[in-house]
Amino acid sequence: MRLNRKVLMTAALILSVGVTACGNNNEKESGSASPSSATQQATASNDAGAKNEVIEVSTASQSDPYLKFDEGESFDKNSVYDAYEKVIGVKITNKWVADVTQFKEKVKITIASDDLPDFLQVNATQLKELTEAGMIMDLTDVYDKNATEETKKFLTMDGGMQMKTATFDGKLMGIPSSYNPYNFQYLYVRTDWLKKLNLPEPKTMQDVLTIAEAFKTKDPGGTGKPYGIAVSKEPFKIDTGVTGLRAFLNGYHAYENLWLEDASGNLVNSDIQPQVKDALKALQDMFKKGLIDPEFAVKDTEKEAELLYNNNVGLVFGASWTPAQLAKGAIKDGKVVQEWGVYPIPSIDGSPTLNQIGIGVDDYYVISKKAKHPEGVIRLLNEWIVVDNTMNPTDDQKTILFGKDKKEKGSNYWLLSPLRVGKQLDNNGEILPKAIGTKDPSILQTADQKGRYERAMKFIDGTDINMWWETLISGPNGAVSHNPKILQNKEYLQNKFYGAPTPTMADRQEILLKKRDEIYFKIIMNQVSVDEFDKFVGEWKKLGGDEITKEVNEWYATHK
Amino acid sequence: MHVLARLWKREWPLHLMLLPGIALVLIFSYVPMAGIVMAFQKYIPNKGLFGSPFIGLKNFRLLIDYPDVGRVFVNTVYIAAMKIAAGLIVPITIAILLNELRREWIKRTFQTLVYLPHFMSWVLLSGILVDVLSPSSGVLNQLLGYFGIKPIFFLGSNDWFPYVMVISDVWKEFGFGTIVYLAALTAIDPSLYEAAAIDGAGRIKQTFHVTLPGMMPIIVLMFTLNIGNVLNAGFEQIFNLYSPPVYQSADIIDTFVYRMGVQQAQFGFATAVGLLKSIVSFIFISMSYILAYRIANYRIF
Repeated sequence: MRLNRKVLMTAALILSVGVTACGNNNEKESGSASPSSATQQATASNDAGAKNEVIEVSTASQSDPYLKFDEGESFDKNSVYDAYEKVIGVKITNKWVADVTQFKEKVKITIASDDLPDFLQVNATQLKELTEAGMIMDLTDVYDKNATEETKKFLTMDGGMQMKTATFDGKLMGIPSSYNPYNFQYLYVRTDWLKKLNLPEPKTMQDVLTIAEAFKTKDPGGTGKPYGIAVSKEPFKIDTGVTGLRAFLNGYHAYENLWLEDASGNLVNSDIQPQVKDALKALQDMFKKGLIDPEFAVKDTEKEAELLYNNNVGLVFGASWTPAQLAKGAIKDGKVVQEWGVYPIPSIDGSPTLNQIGIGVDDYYVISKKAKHPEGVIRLLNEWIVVDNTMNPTDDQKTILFGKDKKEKGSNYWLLSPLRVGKQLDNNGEILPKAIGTKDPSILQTADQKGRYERAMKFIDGTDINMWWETLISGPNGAVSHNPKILQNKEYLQNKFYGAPTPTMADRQEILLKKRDEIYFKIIMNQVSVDEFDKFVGEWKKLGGDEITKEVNEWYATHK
Repeated sequence: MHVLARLWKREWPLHLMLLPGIALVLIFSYVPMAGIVMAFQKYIPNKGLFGSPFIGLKNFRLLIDYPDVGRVFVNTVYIAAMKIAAGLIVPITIAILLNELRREWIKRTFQTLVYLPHFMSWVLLSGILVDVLSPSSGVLNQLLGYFGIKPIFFLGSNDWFPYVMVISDVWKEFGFGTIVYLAALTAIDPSLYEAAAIDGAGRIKQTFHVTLPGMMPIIVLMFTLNIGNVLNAGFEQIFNLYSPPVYQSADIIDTFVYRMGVQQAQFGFATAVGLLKSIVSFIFISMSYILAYRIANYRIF
């Protein structure tokens, strides 16, 4: 009966939507619970003694092009899983594996067909959906009993904000896949071109426009097809780490889909604020002057980045890891052929630019209600936090990070750990530039800093030129070196709304964002006048924006 | 009675062989129809079809409330209708022309070449099309440049986008369609051509008075079958090629449903739109079927 209904629903879904996006829906015939559980149902507690007995938890994993398996290893059998089994007695199995691009879609199908593995990574909307549908476990007790003090401290470093977003009616429903929310964007400029054209470093937004125009008209790359700035087809999405325009908006004190307080203390959505209009006007002017690639609307990041690699463009906004992308063009035949500088996002007027940031969590790990060993999942969490943050890893911990050879060889074995959380706070910006500048590793405090320091040093002492990017991220004038000032002066703006989507949001968000993208793009591409923005504001309100604003403020009243 | 029993004795293996087919149709075509109730539910996966709460026509109301629903509908029908028309005319013309070719190997080579794009996916072709149609570096615009025509951003212009969809779709599929019509051509009795030639009909006249009437049943059949697709403007193709500046002319029902239904996990809503589409398609097919019977005296069933 269960199977029948599943087939029926999947088929109905496919039939009605008319989409065959499911790809290889080769769901294995499975009895929904982990096979070995029958014999071990009694092992519910997590005493030290129980650790000798191996428990099994299932999950779903993302395969990644950057993950390079050692000979003979795979998602089914690898040294990382073996190490976890050996150290904490948890055997990891994969119910399915999908590559990065398909993973999110596959998660949706998995939820729709009610076939969750023991634990799974989902987004905020799905967390709420699964909670309401009663498909996932209340983790309050399991977490309380099994998480180590270190884990608990680690996940509340931000004052408990991220854990709060995973809590519904006082029940912890997921483990935030947390990261540091203080992830800023920066402006990256070809400094060799600035020198060549005798231009000053960008201090204001006007400087940026001047530089972009000079790069266009003087064509320092000598390609014959220069543009001012690199922009790709989803410039407003948070996922667009390089070639986006969020930072550009921020420079005009405009923000992308963020809830901020107005003068009277109510929350308003940033997408309809007048500052956006100014930013769009500026972008339209740039487009008219030919500073923006006219085809940006159909080019994804990688395609647009070719313009950076090939010396057509020398100006781009991006996250701190942007240098890793730029490296493809900057390093050729063992030589640095492009010189890049990193600058904080300049401002259009006297007041400093506020970097827009989120809460630091987009995804959550949830545990299926049918899971036999939720404590195994928490043990994985404990172990990951230990392994990822130790300065002096043991052999087993090295295996978990690097595979059986126990040393970094660029195969990204850390991607095999099925449950990963990042630090909610770091002081890389204070420590790293100093340490690298003075070549003094003694002040390093975390494993992450140690790794970065070692990479940067390899570039500096000339042993590995390909580590160029790390120096541009962490070095004395690197991206993170700007962080202390931004943090100290609070030059950032955090989204004030961090709840699950409100009812109207669930219904209308998609419509509003699409409408917004359409009108923003048309204005930038000079297809319509910038005054269309005012019309859009009216429509936004009418199409459910006002309703959402009301709901968000009701939420805000109880969460101030 | 005696006769029936004898018939049964002889034919029961045939009936047996029919069973798997019937079972397939039942399981994959009829049983899933029960899923239609999702259109009236707020569908919750683990509660299933029987446990999810009913919300009446709310899903349909959401669709009607959508501000651009008219535009989406018009885009869909506009693109789909052009595709159906072009998808009939081009293969028929090509088939007739091919049929006139004397040299067998030219005919075969041509047929194979035009047939190939059918096997490529839109994901792949969209990458190629973006490059070919690029206003700065695309082959097509460079070619137009030789005639003094300024570069056109085909994929970014609302004036061009629907036609690019139609032309690229026809280019991809006409080879496949041609095969059907070539088969129909071989079925025409050669003596008819001889008779026409004796009566003094030239090539052109023969085409209009012998070939086309001979192909009519198959043309009507293909048309009737295609008309059911009037609300399917080609999800894969458009999804891979559109961008915000051309939403105005490119957003079709399927892309809309994809964004709302699948990405936002509003399964009930997606089903409601799917149901609506099916109803409209059903009406269209019925109408064209009746017309085909009245006009061409052609019946499928």
